Amino acid sequence: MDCRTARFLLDFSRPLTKELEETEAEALQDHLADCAECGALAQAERSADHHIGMAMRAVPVPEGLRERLLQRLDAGQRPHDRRRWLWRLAGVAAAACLVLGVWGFVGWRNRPARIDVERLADSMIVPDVSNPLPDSLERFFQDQGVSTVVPPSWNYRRLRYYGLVDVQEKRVPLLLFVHEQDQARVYILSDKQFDLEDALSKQQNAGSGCRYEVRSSRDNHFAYLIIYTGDSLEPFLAGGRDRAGS
Amino acid sequence: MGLPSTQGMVQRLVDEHYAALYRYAFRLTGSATDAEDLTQDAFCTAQLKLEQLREPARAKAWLYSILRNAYLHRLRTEKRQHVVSLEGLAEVPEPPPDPLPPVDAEQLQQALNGLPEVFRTPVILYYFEEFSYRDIAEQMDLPLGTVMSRLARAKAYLRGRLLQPAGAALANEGETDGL
Repeated sequence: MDCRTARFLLDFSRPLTKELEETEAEALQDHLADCAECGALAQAERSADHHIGMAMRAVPVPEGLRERLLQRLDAGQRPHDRRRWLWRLAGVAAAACLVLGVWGFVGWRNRPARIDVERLADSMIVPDVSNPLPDSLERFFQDQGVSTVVPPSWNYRRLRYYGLVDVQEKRVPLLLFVHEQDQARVYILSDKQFDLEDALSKQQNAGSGCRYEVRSSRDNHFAYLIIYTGDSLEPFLAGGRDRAGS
Repeated sequence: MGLPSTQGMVQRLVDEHYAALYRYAFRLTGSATDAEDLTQDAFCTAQLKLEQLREPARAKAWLYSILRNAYLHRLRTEKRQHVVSLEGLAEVPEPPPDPLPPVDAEQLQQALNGLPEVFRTPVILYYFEEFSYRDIAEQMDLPLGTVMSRLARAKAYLRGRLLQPAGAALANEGETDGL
């Protein structure tokens, strides 16, 4: 081993950190034993390192430091646990609020609407069909994606129009019965769409010279809002007589 | 026998390493108060990140690394970075006198305080003697060659400040302060 290599390896041969391979360490020791200059340098290096190292480590540790550290760690652990628990609680609360909010919004969107009879009474309908049977009517609405029950005991020979119409942004089956100058519009309202209880409580004139009444289906899931002209509904019902007595 | 609890493991870490960590922190900061705060911060961080300690045998290096990161964070926050340069300082120290003069603790700390952190940390770790060059390189996330170079310059600087005869030391002091 030459002097240059030996001096380079000196740094790696400190007493407490064995960083040299065994063969390297032996070769270095041999060189230091043989070379007076490198041996003296190594001795001086170690002596200086030892001297400064002693001073470096000579730091008095404050009394009670260990206890203070443990005390603070113990105190820090509990707030940390509390914080973690509070975060979890806040997370659960936020999730609950979200669910309630969504549920409330969906419920609000799907809430039964109050029927605005005035608007319906004012609308115009042009009759263009005739004489379907009740069964085929229900199938027709079913095909349109709307399950409904048409009112029984009506004179379907006087049906002049049927179809789905928009009532307050909801699709509603409509039947139009015509007799002479009078007409009766039957809106079939579902309890999933409208507040039927509210509708059934309204039995008064709708304006525009119309009368109206609301009847309930047999299963109470539908209400028939009937807006009509003329003195009564009798001409539109099965077995009803014409004004002219026909 | 069950696994040791987190609290038990933390207490063991404190028992085994608190004194060495405090000394390291003191040499980094030069202040007993800052050193205690830093030691506390390091153990608090260790407590929170205990699951990251996969090899208990590496606990000491892990704690030193945490403490140094906490120290660097403080330095950045307080903008107390030293700007002393070691340009021009010889890497090969002059042979120290024989017998060596006593090293004054305050003088040592002043000399350390005058070193930029990139030199101060490796030289402190070096003189704590239990860290190899490779350990220091790993701690500082630096190539071994860089650590060796920095250490050589920092050691030369310290020897120049601490182990030279009084007249030479005074002359060196003026020289390094201006570097």
